[in-house]
Amino acid sequence: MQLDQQIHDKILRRDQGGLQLLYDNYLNSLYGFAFKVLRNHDHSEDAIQKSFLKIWDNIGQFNAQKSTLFTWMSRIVRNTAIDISRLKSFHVENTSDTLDPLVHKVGTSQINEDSIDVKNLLEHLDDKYAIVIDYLYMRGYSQQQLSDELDIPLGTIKTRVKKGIAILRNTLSKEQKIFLGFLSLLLLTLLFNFWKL
Amino acid sequence: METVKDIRESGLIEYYVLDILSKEERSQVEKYLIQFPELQKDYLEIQAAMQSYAQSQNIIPRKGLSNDITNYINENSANKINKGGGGKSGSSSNLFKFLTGILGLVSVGALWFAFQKDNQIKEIQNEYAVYQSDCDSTVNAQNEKLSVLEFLNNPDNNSLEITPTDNYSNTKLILHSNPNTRRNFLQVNELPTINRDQAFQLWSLKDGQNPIPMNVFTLEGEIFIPLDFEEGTKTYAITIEQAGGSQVPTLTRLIGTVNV
Repeated sequence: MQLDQQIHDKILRRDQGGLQLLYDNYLNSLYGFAFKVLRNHDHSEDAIQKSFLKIWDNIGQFNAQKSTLFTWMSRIVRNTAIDISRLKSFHVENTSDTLDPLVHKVGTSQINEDSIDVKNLLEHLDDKYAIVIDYLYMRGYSQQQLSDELDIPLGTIKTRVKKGIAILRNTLSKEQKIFLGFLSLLLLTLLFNFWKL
Repeated sequence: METVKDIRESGLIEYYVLDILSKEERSQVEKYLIQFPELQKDYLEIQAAMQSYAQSQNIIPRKGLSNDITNYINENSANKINKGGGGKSGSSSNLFKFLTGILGLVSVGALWFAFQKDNQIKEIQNEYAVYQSDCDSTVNAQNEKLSVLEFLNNPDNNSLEITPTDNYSNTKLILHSNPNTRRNFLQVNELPTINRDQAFQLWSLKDGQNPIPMNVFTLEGEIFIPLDFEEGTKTYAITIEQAGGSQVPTLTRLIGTVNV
């Protein structure tokens, strides 16, 4: 992706513009990872600051052949948040597990990329698949922990992961096709009008 | 796992993107991605799907956080932020450049000692971070051992000897299983030697169902290996599979079973 390449190159050159691109395009999504794990804005901000420092310092280790920039960064944020959640001070402060009212519900947050209708994406995803993906991908649970937490057999967890991701892939692929189709139609209309003139 | 179809059906690429695989399984997937370039498309699509999912879970942080992050990086990183934006010189005059150069040299001289001090402090901080990390690792390892000990002392455990098959009759394994805590530990007394491209795999067998693939593991000096617990399992079985595991057990390499 051109944007990722641009961010990578700029951060590698220690250019502040690279950070600005990161904030504009990925801060909200990455903050979502930290908040899912920590459920607390102060700790999430701490996790995000530490994560961005790691991204800034270790950008040279990122290998575009191995993963996308977002996958790489999201792992850093999730693991940093999990490390913070294991600290004693975190447990003392967080006895309650209630969700913060400021948390944006699924599909209501600001979407800013690639013309993909994320709300539509999630409408296709049944809750039973969304929960499994949410816990494993966003909160860093192991399959065994999730099986225990939801009291669902491990085999069912595995099946739901595969099925849930397959639904996301299919929906995303359809969205992209519709977008390309619309673009082609627009282009044809313009060409036709130009030819008429 | 020999074909692209098998790999796709195993869900390994999905698990790889979710980052929920063991070290061995991860390196196996990386080998598959090199060996079968056609899997790259799957890999990219799954990453894109997960990125879209993460975008749907956006949480907007407070205003000013990005400034705080920038300041935090400036204060804590040895790689200072270049605010020049890529080094365009544009309309700077030669005189301006000359004066800037002189000023730069003077500044470098004046700040030299300050930097020296700063570097020393950073080195000490780095050393401290390394010691802290070592300390955390030791505490974690200790806690893991205590957790194993606590589990093994639980009177509700069922300690069951795994019955080896004829081909692997020297195998001596004990499964410590606790349905209350839903935890399993495998006590390894004797296991067959395997090749570097192989691994052991646990299977859960239930009435009327295909075997459910579970943990893939190799031995690295451990005596007690934590294993997943599958509700409703009648029998656990252990086979030798290709590193990374399989979706279907290789019955000719079944080393033992135990009824629970």
